[in-house]
Amino acid sequence: MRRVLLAACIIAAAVLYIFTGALYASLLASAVLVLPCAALALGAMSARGARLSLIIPARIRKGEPARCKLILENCSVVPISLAALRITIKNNLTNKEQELAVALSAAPNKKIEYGFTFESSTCGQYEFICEEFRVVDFLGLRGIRKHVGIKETKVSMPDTFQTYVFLSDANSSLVDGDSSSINKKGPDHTEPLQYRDFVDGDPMNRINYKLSFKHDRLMIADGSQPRKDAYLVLWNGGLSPVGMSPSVPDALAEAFISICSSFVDAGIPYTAAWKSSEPDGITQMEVASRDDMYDVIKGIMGTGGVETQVNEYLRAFGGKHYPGVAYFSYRSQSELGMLNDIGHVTPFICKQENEPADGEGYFFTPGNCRSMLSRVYI
Amino acid sequence: MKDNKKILDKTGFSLTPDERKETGYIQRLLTALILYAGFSGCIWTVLGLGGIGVNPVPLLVIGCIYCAAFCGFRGRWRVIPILAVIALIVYFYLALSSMSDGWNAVSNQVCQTFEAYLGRILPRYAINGEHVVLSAGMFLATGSAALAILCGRTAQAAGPFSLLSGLLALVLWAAALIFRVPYPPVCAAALIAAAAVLAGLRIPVRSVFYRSGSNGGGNRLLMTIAVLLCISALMSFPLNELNKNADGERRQAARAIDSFRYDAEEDTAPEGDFSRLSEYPSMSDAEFYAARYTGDIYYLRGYVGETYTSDGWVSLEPGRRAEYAGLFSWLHNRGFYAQNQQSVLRDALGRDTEAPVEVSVVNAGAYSKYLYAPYEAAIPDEPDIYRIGDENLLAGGFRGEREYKLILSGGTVSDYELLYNELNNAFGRGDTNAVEYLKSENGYRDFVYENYLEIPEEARSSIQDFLDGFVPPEDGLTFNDAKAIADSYINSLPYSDMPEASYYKGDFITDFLSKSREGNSLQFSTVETLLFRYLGIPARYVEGYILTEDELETAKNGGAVTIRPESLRAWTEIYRDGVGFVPFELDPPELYLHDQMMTDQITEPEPPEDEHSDPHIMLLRILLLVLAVIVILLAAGFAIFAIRRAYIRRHYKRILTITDNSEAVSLTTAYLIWVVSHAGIPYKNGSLHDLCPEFEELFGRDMRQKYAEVIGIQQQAIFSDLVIYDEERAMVTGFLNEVVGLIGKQAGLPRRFRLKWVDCVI
Repeated sequence: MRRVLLAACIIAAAVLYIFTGALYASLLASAVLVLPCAALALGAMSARGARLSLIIPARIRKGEPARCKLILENCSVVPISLAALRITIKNNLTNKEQELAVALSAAPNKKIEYGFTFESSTCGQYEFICEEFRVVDFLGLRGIRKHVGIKETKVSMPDTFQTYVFLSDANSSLVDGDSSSINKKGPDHTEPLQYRDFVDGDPMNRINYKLSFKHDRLMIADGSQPRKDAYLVLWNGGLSPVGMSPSVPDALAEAFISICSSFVDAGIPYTAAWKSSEPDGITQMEVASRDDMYDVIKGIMGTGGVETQVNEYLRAFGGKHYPGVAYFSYRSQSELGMLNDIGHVTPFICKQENEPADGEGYFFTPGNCRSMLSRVYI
Repeated sequence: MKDNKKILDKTGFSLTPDERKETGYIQRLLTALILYAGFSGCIWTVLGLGGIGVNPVPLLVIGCIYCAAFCGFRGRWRVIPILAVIALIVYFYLALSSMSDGWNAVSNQVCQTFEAYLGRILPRYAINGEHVVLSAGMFLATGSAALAILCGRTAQAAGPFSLLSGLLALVLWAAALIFRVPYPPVCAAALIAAAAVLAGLRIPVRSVFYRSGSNGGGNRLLMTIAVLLCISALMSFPLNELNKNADGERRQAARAIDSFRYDAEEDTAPEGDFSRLSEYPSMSDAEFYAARYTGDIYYLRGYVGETYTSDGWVSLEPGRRAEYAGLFSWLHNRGFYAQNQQSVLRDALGRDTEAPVEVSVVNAGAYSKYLYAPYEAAIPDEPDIYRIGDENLLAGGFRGEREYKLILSGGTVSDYELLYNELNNAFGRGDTNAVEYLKSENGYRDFVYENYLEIPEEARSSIQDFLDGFVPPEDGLTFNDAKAIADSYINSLPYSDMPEASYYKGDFITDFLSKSREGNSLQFSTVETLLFRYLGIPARYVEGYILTEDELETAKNGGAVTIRPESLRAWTEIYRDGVGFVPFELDPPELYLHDQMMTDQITEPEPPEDEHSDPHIMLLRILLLVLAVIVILLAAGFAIFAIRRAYIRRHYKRILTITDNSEAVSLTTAYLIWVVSHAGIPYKNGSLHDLCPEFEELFGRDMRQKYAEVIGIQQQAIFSDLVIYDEERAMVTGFLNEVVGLIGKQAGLPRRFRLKWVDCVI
């Protein structure tokens, strides 16, 4: 539109100049020639000297404001009339994003700071992205793009709560009465061997017929694998349904981390699994201590926009057995029963307020998360 | 706050920008004042308000106050504009009694100004009060305040007000173009400056409005615009000198508009424009002279040229016409229209014995702009009462008229001498009608003698030379003497029935007479007109068509007169006191003597070849000037860059002259770091050794090793008392030169240009 107006002004000035021969018409004609050319030249000069940087605090805490700064530095001898940019802030957990449009100007050889306050009510992995900005001349005729490639990633940790997790040891059902320790009934944590499905080539004498009969498939004690008492915790909270409040993934993450923390506190090893946005399939991480949990937290925070199907879990964990499987998601998939081949599945489903619960498992909302999950049985 | 909460609930996080500093009040006020100065000056000029006698200073003061009030206050000061509006309303109410007279006084002045623009009589309004100037000033104060409010709100980048300002600027531009209003250059400069600042204030970022001015950016912007305007002003003077042909261009544009509007079937007469004679077909006088010998000739008057310029004939300037608004208003109120003067005179003398006959005229191919009518005719409808000047009859409607009616009541214009004698006799008898007629005619005669005797100086000398230096006596010549002189000299010019189209350089009459070019009625009528003017007889140049007596008789008997393109002719009309303008024909050229015409075969001349048209060099000159300015600016720019480079490089040259090796090594190393920062190795706080990987990546392993050695020497120079030898210093200097050379080699041409002339690194 500005260019159209400028073209109209040039035509008007030319007409006035040609048909009147007045001094002011000459002034107008020369001005419409000089000003736009000068604006474009000065705009190019200022664009060359423009530098942009973004400063985000090292830690972003949920519920606490964080002061961020955008710095525009003008290294040229002409002022930057307008530097226009957009910062995209995205939460990779909740898949919500916002844009902040900023317009700045800077005097020659000066820096200018633009501050804004970031406050989050949900946990997640926040990305602050600014790919480029435009430097516009003082008449607004042309915007010169400058690539800046800013991408800052910060994780806002979830809150946790105290929860008591009661494990129904599947091994006791698996090895009912079959224990290496003759003096101990029930689960035997000294059992060194892990049970798995029979495959061709396995020694026939390793077949545990009792378990095989129970599970209707041949199962053997694998001498090469120590017994795993590790539970399996599955995170499928990447893709929240459309219109879902961001508090729901936040509550789900809280529940996930809280229960995982309880495992760690009880000294029970577990395998956490999630599907990230990277095309590598299911990411698995064996957690035995709190140090391992940080990687898990970082991993699940970046799963926004990704949903895992049951068959993907089966592909990843097929042939393995776990005492129990905790499944965290927003909906209870009908195919979840297929995961019982891996282990007994306990769904933890987070829903919005007033959304009906369907199926078995633990159903909670952001409002009653802590109360519902204060005592859980896996 | 509420919006933030909503966003927080919806997305889980919120972004709260800091409070932004908007454009400062002083900057807005400055912008508004500049805009107000521009608008008020231009409006004052275009409406001619200076003629009222009002002092503009108090109006400016009021305008400045209202600009200040409406430039956007914040907080509790926002009540000020409200108070200002209330004050304005109260003032208007209290001064209501004076507002009416003020409005009338201003309207009268505006009408007077527009009479000069339009050349038409405009109404006047009665003023009852005594203090006209005061009333007008009080009224204008309200307008000044309203304009200031507009400017103040525009400076705040308020959308509707900005649009209004833009429309006002458009109206001023249109007025400048159409009426050639002489705006003061200062006001035009103010408007340009304000427009540039406002354009900078309203740079949109998609949906984000930006208001500049943070951290001195706005001040620099104003300074930049001021500098650029100064450059524009410097350019405007030579540009203005180039454009001497504005009048010609205007004429051509008006002609083009008329061609479209009045839709002539084929090219018609040039309407006094002799600069493009080659574009119009030559018209033959044969038809005229043939008709002349068969009976009376009726001249249908079309275009009338009143003022002679070097390019031909033009109408009187509207400003000049406006001086006679009162006269023509009085004449028209008395029923005196010079287009019908002959008819009016005959009525006054009771001379017409035949019953008036209505004749239809069909204009098939000529311009429909004029009602081509004989001098003897009257038209049924009264001519335009508001028109200043009665040289011809203009057709109504956007597209003119192609069919109209005339009233003829006998007699021909060639009887003007008889009419003159009868009028004198009637006046002598005290005939009432004659006396009343002469009262009107006296007034009109003054107008004629004041305007239709003028000849430009160059043309006057040419005429004088043509007349062998003859200077007419101060008390003038008699009509017959003037006629005899004109007759004798005109016949010495070479006549050609259809002369070849010529390009006349400079003044037309000077060129025509000095080079004795051939001409027919078109050129000769100009010579005759100027000749008569020189001899003291008011005369005008006319283009129109002729009617034969037979054609007119046919029309009187129920037929219609059709204007034929081949009957196009130009002639001179001279003013016979008491009678009015009458067409005048000198003796026919030898070619058209009666006997000659009866016996000779007149062959159709070949149509003239198109001559090479005069090239429009003005546009070329303008382009050349713009190119020259650009070249000068580029040269100046390069000179500035060169001086800047020398200034920046002197620092390095100074290092070379330092005698102390340690200091030289230290400074050289610092200079080296500065140089490589432009090559993509920015130095952040820390050890210089941290740059080694970048050095290797950019220049190779060898250079990395040399760099490490150089840093070693530098540290030795700075942190120890060890002597730095000349060889070490030379090594450091040599390394710097090597790096500079490598940077230059690795860079492409644009980057090398930048490194050399902008960064001054290589």
